[in-house]
Amino acid sequence: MFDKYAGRLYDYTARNRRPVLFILILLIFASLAALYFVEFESSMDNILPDNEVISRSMEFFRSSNLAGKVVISLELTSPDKDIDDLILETDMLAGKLDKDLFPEVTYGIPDSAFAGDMDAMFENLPEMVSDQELSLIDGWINQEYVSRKLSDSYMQLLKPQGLFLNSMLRSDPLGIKMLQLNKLKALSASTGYDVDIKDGHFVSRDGRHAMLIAKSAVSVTDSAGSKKMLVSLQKNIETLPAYIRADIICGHAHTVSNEKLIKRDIVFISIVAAIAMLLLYGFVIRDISAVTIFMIPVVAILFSVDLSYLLLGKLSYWVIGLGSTVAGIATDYGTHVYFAAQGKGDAAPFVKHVIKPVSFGALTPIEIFLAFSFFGFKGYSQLAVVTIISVVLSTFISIYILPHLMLKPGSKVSFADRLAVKLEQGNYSNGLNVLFWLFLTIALAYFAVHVEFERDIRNIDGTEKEIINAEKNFQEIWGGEKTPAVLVINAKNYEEALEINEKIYSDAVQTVGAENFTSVAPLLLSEKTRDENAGRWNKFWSEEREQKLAGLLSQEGKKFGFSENAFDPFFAGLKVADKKNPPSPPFAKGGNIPYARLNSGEVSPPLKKEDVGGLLNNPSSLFERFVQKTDNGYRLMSFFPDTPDYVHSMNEISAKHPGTYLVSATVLSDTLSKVVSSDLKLMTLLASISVIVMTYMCFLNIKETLIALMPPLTSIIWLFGMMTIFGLKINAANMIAGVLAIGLSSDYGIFMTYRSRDKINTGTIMAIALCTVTTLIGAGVLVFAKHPALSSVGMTMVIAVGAGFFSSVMVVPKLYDLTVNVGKGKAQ
Amino acid sequence: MKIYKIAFSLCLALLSVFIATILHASGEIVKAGATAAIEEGKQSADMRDLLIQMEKQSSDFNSLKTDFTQEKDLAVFRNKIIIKGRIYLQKPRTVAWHVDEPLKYSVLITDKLIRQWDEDTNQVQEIPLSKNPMFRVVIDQLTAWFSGRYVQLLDDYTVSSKKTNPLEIEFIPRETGNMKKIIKAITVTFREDRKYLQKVQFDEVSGDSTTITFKNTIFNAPIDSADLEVKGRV
Repeated sequence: MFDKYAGRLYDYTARNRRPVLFILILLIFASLAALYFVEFESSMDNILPDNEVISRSMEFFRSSNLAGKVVISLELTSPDKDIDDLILETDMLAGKLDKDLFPEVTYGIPDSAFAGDMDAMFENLPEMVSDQELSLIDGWINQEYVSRKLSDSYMQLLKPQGLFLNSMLRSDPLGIKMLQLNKLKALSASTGYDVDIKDGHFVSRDGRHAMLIAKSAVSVTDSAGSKKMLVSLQKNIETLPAYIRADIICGHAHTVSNEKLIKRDIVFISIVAAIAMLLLYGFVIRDISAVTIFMIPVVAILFSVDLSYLLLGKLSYWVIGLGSTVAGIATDYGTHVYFAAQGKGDAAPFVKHVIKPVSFGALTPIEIFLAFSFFGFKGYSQLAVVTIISVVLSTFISIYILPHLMLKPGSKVSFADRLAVKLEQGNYSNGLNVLFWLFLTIALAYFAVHVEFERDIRNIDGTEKEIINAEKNFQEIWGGEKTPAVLVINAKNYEEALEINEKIYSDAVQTVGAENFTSVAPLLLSEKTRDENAGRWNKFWSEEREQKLAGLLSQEGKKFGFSENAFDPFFAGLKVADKKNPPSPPFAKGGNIPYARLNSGEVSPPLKKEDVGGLLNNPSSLFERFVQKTDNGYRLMSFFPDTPDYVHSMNEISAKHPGTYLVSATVLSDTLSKVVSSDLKLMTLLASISVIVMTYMCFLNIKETLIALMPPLTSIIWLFGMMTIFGLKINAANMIAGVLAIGLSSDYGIFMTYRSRDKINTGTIMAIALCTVTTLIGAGVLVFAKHPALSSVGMTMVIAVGAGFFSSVMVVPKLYDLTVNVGKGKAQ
Repeated sequence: MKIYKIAFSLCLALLSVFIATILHASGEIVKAGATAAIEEGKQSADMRDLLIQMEKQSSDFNSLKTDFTQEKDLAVFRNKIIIKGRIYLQKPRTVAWHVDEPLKYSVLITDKLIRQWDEDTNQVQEIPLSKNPMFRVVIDQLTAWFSGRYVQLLDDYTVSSKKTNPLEIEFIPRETGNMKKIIKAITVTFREDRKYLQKVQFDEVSGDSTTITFKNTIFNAPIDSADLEVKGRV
């Protein structure tokens, strides 16, 4: 029935050749015009699986100010210059940076920031001191401790630093403020880099480097913007004196470098492949109308982009790129039809004979890409639509339009015809080849089961060596090679965020230890905790305890020559709290407001740039790392080592608090691997079933179906086996290439089984050989691409298509003879 | 009609005089403001020049050793405290402070750490400055004074000259600076030859004061490594 209707359609297009061609040309122009209105996007999200962990991690990286930073490491190269010269130049460079591209530039934490933080903390001491700390203070109110503390204070006052510590010692004889100061010190030591601070600047431990951190207005995925930003930065760096060398560390450099490398590779590949194709077609086919074979996928993808946009909306650039590549397989269908029609006076019977294998061959990638729709990747669904439309259109044009565009064959038999006949007559499939194939397939099957998924995306990153070296150099100087995991709290209300943060901190300290959990919780307390602390402080400093301490200070102070009123400022501070004044709103004294207390009905404090730091008058990068204002509220972040044990422990804590989650490179990598792996298994199962069913539908015979499936099966086993042997892993790029190559092998299997069944000369071997050679030329050149992703695509295509060709041409005919023909012979 | 015209002309004349007066007055205010700003700018530029000159004069050495006497008049103590000892300075940023009276102790300050020892505990304590922001602020200030890096202090202080012979310069913390809460003024008196400090007086907001007087200052004197150690030196 298929043959009947397909044949009628062919006859109809043959009869109406001119109107059909006219409509095609009209549609091409309409599609070209429509292309102007199609919208594209370059978001990376489309190539990531639709998974909660992955989505929120990506969202976190996108919206947090941790991503998109540009770090400049400046190094002194002359021994005659010192760190002061470097600091001066760092300041000048910071001032020169384009404010539109770098809205915020940080070169250190000013000492005044610490002083401001300290003031805010000390002024609100009663609210900052916790229950446990009060117990500690209680243990200090005895003769031994007071005596030792006063001895220390006396020594401090005699030392040079005592010049500025006098008033502090008077207002805090017990050293209560040091408890708070230690929390601030712990936070300041956790910049994420191995830095010293000098004159408010980040400097390296060796004193020969300075660091500048600029927040970029350009997204890391914006390659044009990244290029512009790096050019601007490079211009600024060129103004530095000769004794300073600069390394730029940022994701933007990777984007630009990858694009540069891919472009370079594509130019090289295109030139080599174009020359090879021209030579191949110029010498083998020697027919100008063969050019139309290559035009078919171009026209099909043009229609497909417009139609896909109508169906799906904005399309991903990478989907269009990959879709176009996949559509390239349509040249194979054109080639088969071309060789079926080539040199024939009446091409119709020959073309009609290949309609079924070509159509069912085309159904194979369609089925595979249909299976892609079940894949968790949004972009793969897009890719499926684009590809399916383009393959359907390519097949239609190949079968029903291409033969009518071919030049009429001359009286002389062409070189291609003679070659095709020779190839058809050749006996390539014999017992030895089948044995060799069987042996190799069994051997490679052993390795195939061990193929692995690529977990580290950096392995397919094509960033140039200079950038990688700069990063290595940077890590040697500044550390930070292991990115910590982040526990993220998102809350609409700032108070709510602080309360959750406190609870998590308390749990984390017990589970992983305070030394492994860097949090702002000890410094940014919720209103509830501050009120509780203030209440406890008031109760703690009873008349009795105050008198006891005053007596001890007076008694022990005499030994060191302290005056009677030496510590009056301390007791004056206590009395303020004793008067039962409402505990001073935290940090709400004039200039020291880090965040205002909420007004009635206010859902979130007016957290401004100034008070993101929590304790500072001026924005401080110290706190920016931990507190952020988001579109939906507030985000608090804490950091811990990204190891499986800690991640597991923190995951358990996070699970208890809705609105919190972990962002960890380890978890992200594992999740990606798991999701891709499970999706790939599902997709493979679906694709396998549909390919088997479709192949059976084509032949309606189990034996023939099994024989036709040998090439794709061989491709899979050989590909995975050789990937394991060569140490290659499955990644997002070569996975698509593999699917494509297996689809081609499936086509070869169908074509060769069909050829073996009917023994009609439709130039099948010539067509398959030509298709394989053209694919191998393109893919073979890719193997030498400098970009690892492109290179892995090349290797995959070469192995899988090579396996498909070998098994279809060298194995399928013999297998057919051994099983189907022998069966037929016996039956006869 | 004429009356109206005359009245109108008078009003106009009065208005013109009024506008002229206002313009003149505001011009004078602007001029006066500008003059003050110019004067202030000139003064600050002059002070900067003077400090640069002092910095150059006092930077003509790589090492220095000097005796000092520190007098502390603090409310926290019943009596004045007199501290005597020696300071060793090795450029760019090493200061050793050895005290003999009233008790023995030593403090070594570098740009990275403070190392200190006292006879009472007989223990050496090391404090890395990178992890002690508060100490770093204090130490940065101190090393700036002792090493003669006066120009960098202009960011934190307004500077004025009080006397020229001997040269006496007063540093008052700026309103925006952190020192404002502690220090009222710092008065620096230079030696006759202006090569180094003769006296530094710190007046605190609380009314306390500390004076350090330098004697027997020797420039480029050989400094033993032991002079830059803390334990066993005194």
